[in-house]
Amino acid sequence: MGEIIFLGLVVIIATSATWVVVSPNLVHSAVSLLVTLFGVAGLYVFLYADFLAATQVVIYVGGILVLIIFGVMLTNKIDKPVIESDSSNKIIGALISGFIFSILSIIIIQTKWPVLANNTEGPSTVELIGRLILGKYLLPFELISILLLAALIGAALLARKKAVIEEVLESGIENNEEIHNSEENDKNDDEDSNEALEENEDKKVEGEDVDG
Amino acid sequence: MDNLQIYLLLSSLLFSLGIYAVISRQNAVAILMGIELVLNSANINFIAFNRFTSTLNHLDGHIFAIFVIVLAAAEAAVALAIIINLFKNIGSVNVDDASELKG
Repeated sequence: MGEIIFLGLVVIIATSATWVVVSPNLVHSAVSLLVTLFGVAGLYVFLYADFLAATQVVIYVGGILVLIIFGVMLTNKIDKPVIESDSSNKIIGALISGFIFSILSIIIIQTKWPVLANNTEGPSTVELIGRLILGKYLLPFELISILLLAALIGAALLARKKAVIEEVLESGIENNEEIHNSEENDKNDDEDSNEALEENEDKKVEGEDVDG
Repeated sequence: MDNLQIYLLLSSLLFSLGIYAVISRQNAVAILMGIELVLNSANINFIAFNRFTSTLNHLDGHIFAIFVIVLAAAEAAVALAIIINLFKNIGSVNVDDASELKG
């Protein structure tokens, strides 16, 4: 029974990953990437990695794939019925990737892997992973959390409008008074939202005056 | 199922499909999907080697896989921000159109 499920998983992963790569419709690619990622999570279950299977579903399927679908939707005209993705260099790409795959599979089949005999399923991996993250791998864990924070702030800054970015940069250099003045100067550029902001700030200033 | 080689073969298939996507696709989001496939194949390798070639209480491969997943999340966020900026500047996400350094 387990073997049948495993073979089914392998077939599903292989076909859906192929469809991710060759499908002319970008939304079809994204949906079959979803199937591939779920299949890989199932593969982790067969490899006794329960925590990683859950992580894969939560982060890849729930996070990264949603980001990718956002990317597909934000960068195409919605009125087109089919969101297309052209392919070029098909022959060169097939040659190179086929070459890589054949070399890798020859190596994998010919090598005698030092497989241990007694690799049965142990207790849940969650406790051990927690001990490793907060013990042996504490420093890399903290470093990667800082990296993730920096990447997310950078992404938020990159995806904004240019005027907003300049404003943020100015606020690092100048004090609040000057930003207030520059906002008044830029009033003509941005319409409603900026005015609403302005009003809020005016109210704040008035409130401070009253307090003072 | 209890054979290391089938996992390695599957992950090398995913790897070469991802490389094919990176080489042949023109849409930047499709290239990003190819990169995700490559990262997933590396993860399968980490976990498979951890299960078959280490003793029961050593889960270092899992930690590496978690780090790879975090890196993939950071990379996807930054890459999508860049792609959206590219779309704002040149009006398409075809990587062949992005041929100028100055936007």
